[in-house]
Amino acid sequence: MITAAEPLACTRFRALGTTAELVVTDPERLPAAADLLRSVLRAVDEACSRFRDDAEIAALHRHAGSPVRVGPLLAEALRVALRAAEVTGGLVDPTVGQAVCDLGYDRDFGLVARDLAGPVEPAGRVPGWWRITADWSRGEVVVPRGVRLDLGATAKAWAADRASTVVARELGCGVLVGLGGDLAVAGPAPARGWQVAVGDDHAAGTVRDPVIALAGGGLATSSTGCRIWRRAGRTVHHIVDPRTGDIPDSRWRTVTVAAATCADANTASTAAVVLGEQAPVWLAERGLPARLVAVDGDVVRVAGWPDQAEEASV
Amino acid sequence: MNHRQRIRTRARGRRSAAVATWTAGLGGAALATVFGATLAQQATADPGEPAPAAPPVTSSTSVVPPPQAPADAAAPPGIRPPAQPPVTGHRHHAVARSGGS
Repeated sequence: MITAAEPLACTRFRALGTTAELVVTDPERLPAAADLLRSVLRAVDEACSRFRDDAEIAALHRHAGSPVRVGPLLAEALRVALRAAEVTGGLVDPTVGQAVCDLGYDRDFGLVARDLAGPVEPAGRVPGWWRITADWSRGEVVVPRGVRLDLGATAKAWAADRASTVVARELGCGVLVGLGGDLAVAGPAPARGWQVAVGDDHAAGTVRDPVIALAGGGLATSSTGCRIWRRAGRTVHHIVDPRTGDIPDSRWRTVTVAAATCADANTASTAAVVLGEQAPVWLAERGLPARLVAVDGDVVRVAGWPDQAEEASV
Repeated sequence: MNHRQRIRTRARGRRSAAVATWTAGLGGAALATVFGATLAQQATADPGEPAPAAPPVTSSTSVVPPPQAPADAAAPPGIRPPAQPPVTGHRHHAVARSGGS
């Protein structure tokens, strides 16, 4: 994908149940950058994975109702998740964990049966992010009984932010980190900016996918067409509307948002999928450049996202 | 207001000030914005009480704009647009992909 004219180097590998992508502006620093990225992702997985009994977050569920001391990494991940909930008015809520499990996504996605027969009654409005209480000065968090956390809407994006910052700081080069299509960049950008193709699936592109150039910050895409399975005869996916405990109405197939950080971008793209019809106005009001692809293929661009004619660039 | 009531009133004032000061010391406006409500809630809640049934009301000490938000933005604290919007790129120069996963 990289042309000879660009002094860039890249690698990719599996991590956090998806694809990790790393691009640096100094090819000689790629091995060291990859080591740093793997180290950050390993630590994030050990702290935040809802699929590991030995993950730190599992202790919050085991000791629900009681204060649990958490390490600085999980504390930061929780703060990012709670912040996402607050700034979206609860459209992105980490207490959707049980609702996601009820839909059938209760283990690593590679192990989820693609056609679950059992019917499921949506649980209704999820418990709510405000039920999570914390004494950050003591590093203690209380998850009430019956509340199950899922940091999926923010943790990967935050990990991309964190890893890109660490690599840029430690190695002094420009870096792009992508985790399942959620991208964060840090350090000096290439002369042409970070050129990124945007599509429905981070792992499979088409020649019609538009290409944009980022100077900094983050870019995230939320899709209802990936990570899907069948449940009781209907197709479901991993994005839950906290107001209903069920998947949101199908308005958008894919929403891509640019923001100051990848965590902000992913917060906004997830909120947009949940919002449905109101999403373009919601994004525009916040000045967030975004590209929304409707289920029928119509494309809506807001807040300065390059227009359709420009997308034809080659 | 008798002497004991005056002492209680002063103590409440000191607790509020301590929360606000500590919150600001964590790293400034953004953290205060995000966690002010949670901290205020934590500071006043009895640990034995059940969790609240509704979102907390954001206190005045927590309504501080995020560091990078434009002054004229209608955005609530925390959602930060990019410093520069994306521009058109060139297919042959693409180095990464953004998409669903």
